[in-house]
Amino acid sequence: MSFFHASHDWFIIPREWQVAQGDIPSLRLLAAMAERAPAVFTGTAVSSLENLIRQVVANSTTPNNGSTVVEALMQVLVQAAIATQQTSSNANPTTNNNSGSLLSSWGGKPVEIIDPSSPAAALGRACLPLLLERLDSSSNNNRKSMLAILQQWTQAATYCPSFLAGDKATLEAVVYVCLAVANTNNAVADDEEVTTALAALEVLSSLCSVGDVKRKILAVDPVLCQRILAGIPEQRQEGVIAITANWMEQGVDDDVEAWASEPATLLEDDAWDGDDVARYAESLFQSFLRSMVTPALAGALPMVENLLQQTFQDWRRTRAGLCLMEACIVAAPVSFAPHVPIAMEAALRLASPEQPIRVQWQALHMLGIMCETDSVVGKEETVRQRYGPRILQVLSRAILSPGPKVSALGSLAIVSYCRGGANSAKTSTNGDAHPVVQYLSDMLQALVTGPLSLDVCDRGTAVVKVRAIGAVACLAEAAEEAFAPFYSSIMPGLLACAQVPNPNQNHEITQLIGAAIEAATIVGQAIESDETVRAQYVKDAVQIMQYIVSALQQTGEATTNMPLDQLLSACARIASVLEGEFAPFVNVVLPQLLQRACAPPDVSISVSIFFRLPFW
Amino acid sequence: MTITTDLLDALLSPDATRRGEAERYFQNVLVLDRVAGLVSLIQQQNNTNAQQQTVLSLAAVLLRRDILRLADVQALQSIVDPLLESFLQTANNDVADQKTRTAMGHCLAEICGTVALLSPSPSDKEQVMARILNAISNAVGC
Repeated sequence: MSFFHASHDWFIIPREWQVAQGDIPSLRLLAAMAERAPAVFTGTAVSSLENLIRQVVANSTTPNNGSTVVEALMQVLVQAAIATQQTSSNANPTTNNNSGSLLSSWGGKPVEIIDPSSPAAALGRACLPLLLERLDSSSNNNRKSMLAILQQWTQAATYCPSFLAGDKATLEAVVYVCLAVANTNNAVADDEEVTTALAALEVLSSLCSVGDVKRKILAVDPVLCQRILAGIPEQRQEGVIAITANWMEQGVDDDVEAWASEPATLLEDDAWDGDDVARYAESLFQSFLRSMVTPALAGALPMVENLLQQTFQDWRRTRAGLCLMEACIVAAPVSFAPHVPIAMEAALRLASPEQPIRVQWQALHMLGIMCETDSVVGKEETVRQRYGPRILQVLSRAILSPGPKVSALGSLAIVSYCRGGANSAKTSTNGDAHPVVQYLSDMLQALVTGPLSLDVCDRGTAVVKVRAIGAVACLAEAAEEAFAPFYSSIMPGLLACAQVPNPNQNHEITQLIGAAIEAATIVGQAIESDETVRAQYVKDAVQIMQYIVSALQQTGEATTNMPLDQLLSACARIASVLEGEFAPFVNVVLPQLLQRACAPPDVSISVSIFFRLPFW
Repeated sequence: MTITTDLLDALLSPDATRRGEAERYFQNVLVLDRVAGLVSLIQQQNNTNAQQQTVLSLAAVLLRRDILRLADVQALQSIVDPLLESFLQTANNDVADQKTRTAMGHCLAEICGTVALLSPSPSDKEQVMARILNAISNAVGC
């Protein structure tokens, strides 16, 4: 007798073909069919799955491959649940968050709706408890299966959350399994255990970020919410906040000295220096904060306070505290706003050169983020307005740091200060001069005597200088005509950088030349209202244009090592100041501009396989 | 032009020249003939030693790729039974066997998916899946 209720029961299975129950390849085939032909599978096989699971579980006598069977069954269930979701989405495109054509109704988009009456929810309710009872991640083999199951759950949480969260009991069961797996002893965990623990957190993170889970379950069930965040004390299990914080605290890097002397890079740096576990834990922490803002903040802030109290005893703890705080600012800027004064005091204190260099770097990074966010901290007073002098004082010291990474980050933080907030650098709230103007002299002095005075002897130095030149450009943009008195002390250095020889087409040197040209022309625009300084600039601009013209004529678009857009933008800025005096260069610049305008867009459109089918 | 065990051996050869010749030969066989040849080869293997398992695995992987290229519903339907037979007959439950059979299972699933996409007839789609479900019914649990 056939198990499945198919309408064509004419295929007779010879006795010698009959393989053992719980046959893994057959279960994988079942899952693959659900994935490849979801609509047909939904109509043919889904109604039989509950009985199938029951029979396999009942007949299983804990064989050696028991965990693999459970994993394969889970794969079947998850793929079947996704198939039902996909089929229902295609049949009723307006009843879920996907809409439009048949294809766009299921484009692999995350699903935000939980439907307790859906087939997926029914599958989860009926079958998940049966399989959860048989989960055991103690042995190595079982751990591999556990990891595969968790990866399946993440897929389900994203594309068919009703399967895991169709009702409170099912969701609770899943949460408890994930918390148990995530509570690995960090100190003795091997790579596989760590990966499995992070996979468990990923499931929770994916589930908690589903719209309906947030709105309809977590918002009305503070106990469950608290258990996810703070753990289950009676079972000595920590919650996701403490677990992710622990991973961040243990971020590897014992060689602080070597890190400090490493060259700065043009790529975006982060705190973890290649520690993917800590980096992933930070992103998960942010995800939980976004999903459960208020309770997550309430759980995270005492932890931050505790970590920061340990200053000087273990720099890792202090860094973790700063990272957690930065994640709070990024993930929940509005809710975190009342805590900004405390965070700012901590960042200003820890960004001093007396702190361990990793702590200093992290505090500077946080200062930059806080300047960009520029939260309101008082009566119509923003972070930059209230703390401006102290921030700039700290940054002035940071850019003088002998550590290239700290110096480069200090310059980047100046850029964040100048450009942060809803209002751009050029406009203050009441039309007054930008707050940076009153500290301009000190800032430029620090830049000129610090990073801008370095000889470009290697790539790392070039990057420090690129960052410093970027800071100069932003200061000029913010200060406008107030920058004029400093023109003569800044422009010669920029012109020298713009003409640094680069016979080997070194990428960092190319970036340095580009940054210098860009900054010089931004400075030119800033001071154009001062007639005396403008006259000096006109001469310098001609010199820059000669260099640009030479670059444009020499290389052309196809082979130039300098970004053409950067050169053309510089030309535009110079033209806006020189006006009629720019005429001699038009013959060279205009063809390049026209060529650029006529170039095909740098995008391509590929047609999905579905559109090549005969009936489309 | 036929698909043989020797050809698949050559496709796996570490000798680049031999492998290149085999690839050129394989590419010159029509997709329909390649599918028939690979299915026939899979049927001939008994999955009892490592060499045969390697050939079976490669044949299954190549077949899956060609199934995706085949837009002929009848041809696809015609290879379901022989593939099912091999899928179930070769079972001996060791790890290598499971990997080989999983690769064969992917071929069957791919046929289901392709027929579901290509065939305008609902009964065609259901028949293919029903045949597979019935055949593996015992293997999956009852």
